[in-house]
Amino acid sequence: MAGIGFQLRRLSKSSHFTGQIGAYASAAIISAGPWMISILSLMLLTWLLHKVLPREEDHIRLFSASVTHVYAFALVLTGPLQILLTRYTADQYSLKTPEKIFPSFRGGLIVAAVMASIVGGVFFIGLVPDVPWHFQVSAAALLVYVSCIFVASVYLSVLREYGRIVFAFFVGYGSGVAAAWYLAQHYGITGAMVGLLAGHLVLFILLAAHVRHEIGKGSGSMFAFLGAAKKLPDLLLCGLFYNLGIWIDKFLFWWMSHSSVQVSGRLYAAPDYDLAIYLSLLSIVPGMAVFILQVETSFAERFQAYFDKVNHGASLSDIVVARGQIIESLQQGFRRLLKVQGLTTALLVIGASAIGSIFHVSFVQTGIFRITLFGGFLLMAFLAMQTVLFYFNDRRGALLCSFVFLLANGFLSALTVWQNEAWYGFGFVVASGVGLLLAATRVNTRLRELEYHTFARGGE
Amino acid sequence: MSAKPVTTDICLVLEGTYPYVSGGVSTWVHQVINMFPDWTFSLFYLGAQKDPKAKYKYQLPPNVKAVEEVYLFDDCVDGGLLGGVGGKWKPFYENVRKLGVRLPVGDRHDLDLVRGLLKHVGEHSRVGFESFWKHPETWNVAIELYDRYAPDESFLDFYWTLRFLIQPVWKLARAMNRLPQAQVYHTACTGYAGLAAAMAAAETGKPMVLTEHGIYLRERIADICRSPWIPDQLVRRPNLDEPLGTLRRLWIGFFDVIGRMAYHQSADIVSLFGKNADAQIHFGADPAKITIIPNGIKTEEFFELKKKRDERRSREPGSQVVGFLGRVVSIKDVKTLLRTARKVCDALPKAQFLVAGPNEEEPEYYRECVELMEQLGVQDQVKFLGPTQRNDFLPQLDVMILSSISEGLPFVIIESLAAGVPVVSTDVGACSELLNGRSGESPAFGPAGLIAEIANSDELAAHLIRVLTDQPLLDQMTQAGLQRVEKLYHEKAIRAAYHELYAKHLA
Repeated sequence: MAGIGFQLRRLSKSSHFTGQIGAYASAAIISAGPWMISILSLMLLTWLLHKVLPREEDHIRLFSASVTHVYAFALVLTGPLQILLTRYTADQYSLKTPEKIFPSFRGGLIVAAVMASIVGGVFFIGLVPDVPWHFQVSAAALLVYVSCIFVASVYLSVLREYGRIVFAFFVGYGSGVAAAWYLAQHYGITGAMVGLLAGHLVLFILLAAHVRHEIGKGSGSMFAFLGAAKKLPDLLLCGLFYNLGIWIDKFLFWWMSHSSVQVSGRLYAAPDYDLAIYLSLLSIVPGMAVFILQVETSFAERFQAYFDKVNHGASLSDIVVARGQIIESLQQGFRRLLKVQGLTTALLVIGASAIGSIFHVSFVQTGIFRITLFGGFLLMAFLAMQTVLFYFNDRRGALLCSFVFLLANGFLSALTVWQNEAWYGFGFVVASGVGLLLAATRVNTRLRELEYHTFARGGE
Repeated sequence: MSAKPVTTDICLVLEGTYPYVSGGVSTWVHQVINMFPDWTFSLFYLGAQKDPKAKYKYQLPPNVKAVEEVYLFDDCVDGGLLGGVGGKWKPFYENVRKLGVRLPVGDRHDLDLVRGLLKHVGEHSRVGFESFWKHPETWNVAIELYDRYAPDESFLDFYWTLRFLIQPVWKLARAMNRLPQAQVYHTACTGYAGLAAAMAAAETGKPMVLTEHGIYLRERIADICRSPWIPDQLVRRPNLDEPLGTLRRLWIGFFDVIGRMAYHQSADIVSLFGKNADAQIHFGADPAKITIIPNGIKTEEFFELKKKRDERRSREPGSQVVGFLGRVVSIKDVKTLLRTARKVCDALPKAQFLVAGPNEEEPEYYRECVELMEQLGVQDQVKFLGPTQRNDFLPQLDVMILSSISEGLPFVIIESLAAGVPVVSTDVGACSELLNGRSGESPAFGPAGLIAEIANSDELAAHLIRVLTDQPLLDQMTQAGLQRVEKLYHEKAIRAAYHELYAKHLA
C-alpha cells in the first residue's frame, strides 16, 4: 500500500526533559563553605602565631599573605575545573554510567595538581625571593594540596555529603592549626607552613578516601571529562569569571594600590583592605546557610515536582501551577535570606568599631569594613541568584552575570585603588550590586518563561 | 515556484512506493509509464528516511525525464540561526493563527492558507526548522492551539505530537521547489503525496489527478488506533465517552484534513473498485469527480502459463497444490494461511502449500510463521520458497489462496485468474468483485473462486477442500476467471481509460 504514514515511535524517545537537580547547588557551596572555614582557621592561626612569635611581625605577614595567595590562586585555577567536574559527575549519574566518575576524579586531580604546580612553582619559588627554600616549596605544595582538596570537595558535594566535607575540613584544619602552632615554636614560620601543609594532607586524605569509598573504583578514561569542556565552554568560562570576579579586587589592591605592602618579591598584602573584606565574606555565612537550606529542601522538592509533572503527562495548567510553587519557594528563600542576612549585616555595621577593636584594626579599616559588609550582603544575594540560574540551566545567563561582575569589580575597584582610602570597598559593593540586579532580572525572566525553556529550548 | 529545466507532461507524486518499493501501486505506476511512451513523466518521490543502500526496484522507462526525492522523517539538518525568524514572518504567524482559529476542514480556504505557509517556508530556506520551532512566537501559537484543542491533554505529548505533525510538512515545503513542473500532477495516494500534488497544482494552476489504490486515510486510522505508543490521556485515564484520545484525534484529523485538501484540489479522482469509491466519498471526495479504473494486465502473456498448468494437471491428475504469492508480512495474515493448511491437510493429506515471496521485510513475523508451522506440524506440507518467479510459480498451482486482512485490487488475483488458477480469498478490497463479478455484471461469468471471512481459517479450509475435491467446479472457475479478466481487467481497457483522462488534461 502507498504511504509512509507516520513514525512517532522512533522520535518520541527523545522527548523527555530532565532538571539537573542537585548538579549545581553545590557549585556555590564548594566555593564558599570551605574557604570560610579556612579564613577562620587562618585568622586563628595568625592570632596564635602572634603569641608564639611576638617579634616576627614581618614573618607572620609573609605567612598569612602566602596562604591568602594560595587560596586565591587555587580558587581561580580550579573554579572552571570544579564547575566542569560537577556537571560531568551529575551527567554520569543521570546517564546511569557512574563507573566513569572515579576516573574523572583522578583525572581532575592530575589536571589540578599540574596547574597548581606550575603556578605555585613560578610564583612562590620564582617570584618570592629572600625566603627559605623550605618555605617556598611548602607554599607551592600547599597550592597543590588546596587545589586537590577543592576537586575532592566537588565529588562529596555532588554526593550531597556536606556533613562529611565540614567534618573533614574541621579535622584537617584543626590538625593543621595545631601542627603549625607547635612547629612554629621550633622552626618559625617555615615550621608553621609545614604544619599547615600537614593538616591539608590530612584533609585531602580524608576527602579522597571518602570519595573512593562512596564511588568505587570505576573504569574508563581519566580525561573523558575534558570532552565535556568542548561541549560546555560557557560553563568553564563561568567558573573562571566568577572566581576571578571575587578575587580581582584583592589582586588589584595587592598589586596596584599605593597602600599595599610588599612582603617579598611579587608577594604583597593590602592590610587596610584584606581584613575588612575577609571579615565581610565571613559575615555572609548565616544568609548562605538559610538559603542553602531552602534550596536543598523546599525548592529542590518543588523543582523535582515540576519536572515530574512535565514528564508524566500533566496538562499545561498543572505545570504552570507547579512553576508557581517553585517561585513561591524561591521568594520564601530570598525573604529568609534577606531577613537573616539583613539583620546580621546591620548588627555588624553597628558593631563594626567594637569588632575592629578586638582585631586591633585602624579607624580606616573599620570604615572600609562597614562598606564591604554591604558588599558581602549583596554578593551573598548575587551568589544565590547565580545558583538559581544554574538550576534552571541558564548557563548563558550565569556566564553573562559572572562576566559583568568580573568586569565591574575589576574596573570599579581599579578606580577606587587610584583614588584614596575613602573609596576603598565601593568597587566591590557596586559590582556585587550590579551582578545581583542582572542575575535577579535574569532569574525573573527565566521563571516567567520556564515552560518555554523547558519544552521549546530543551531546558536551555 | 522557480522555473525548472525539465518540464514533463505528467508528474507522478509518489509516497513510499515506486521506484524504491515493489508492490501493487508500484506495478501500476510502472505500467502507466510504459503504456504511454509518447508522453514524458517525472517522479517526485516522498520517502520516510533516506536509506543509502536502497536501490530502484524497477528499470525506469526512457520517458521518465526527471526524478526528485525528499525524505520527510530524516532528522532536520537544515541550518538557520536561532532568531532568524524575523519581521517578515509576521504574516506567516498571522496565517498560522487563521488556520488554527477554526478546526481546519480541508476546503479552499484552508488549502490557500496552507499553500501560502508552505510557499513562505520554501522561500525562506535560511530559517531551519529548529530555529522556527524554538522561536517564542511558535511557542505562543502552540500554547494557543493547546488551549483550544487539548487543554487537558499531557502538554509534553501534545507539544511533541504537534512537532511531529509539522516537521514533515516543513520538510515538504522545503522540497517543493524541486517538484518537477508538469502539465498534470498525478498522485497515487492522499497523505503527504496528495498534499504535495495539491500544492503544486494549486500553485501552477495545472490539473491534479488522484488515483487511490487503497484508502490512505483508512489505513492511517487503523495504524493510529492500533498504536499503543501514542501516549494520550486515553491510555492513562480510559474514558467511556471518548473512544479516541485527543492526540489520536489530532493525528487522524491531520491526515483527514490533508486528504480532504487533495480531494478538493483534484480534477479527477480514480478508484480501483466500487467499495473504495464509497470510502472516498465518505472521506470527503466529490462523487462527481470519481471514475473507476481497475488494475489491468496483458492477459496474452499468461496464455503460456495456462497451457503449462493444463499440461501439468493432465500429467498429475488429482494434484492438490495450493499457492500463496506475496510478501510474508503480517498484513497478508500468513498465520491464518498456516492454520488453514493444517485443516486442509487433515482432510486431504496429499495437499501441498507453497508460499512464494520475500521473507525479509518483517523478519520477526517470518520467524513466528516458521515456528507456527512447526507447532502445527505442517512442515512437510508447507514450503516457504522465498522470492519466486511468478511465471514459474503459477503453473504449479491448482488453486491460489489469499489470506490478507487488507488489500486494494490485488494484481495477484488478476494474474492467477489469467493463468487459469482459481482463487480462494478473504473478503477484502476488490477480491469479491474480482471473483464474483461486480453486481450487475453482464454477461455474468460466474464465480472464479470463493470468498471467506477475514482470519477465518475454518471457512478458508472448507473452501479449499471443496475446490480441490470437485474437479468440474475447479474447471468452471478457471473458465470464469479467464473470461472476466480478459473482458474487464485487460491492460487495453485500463490504457484507454487513462488515455482519455490524461488527454483531457494535456489538451
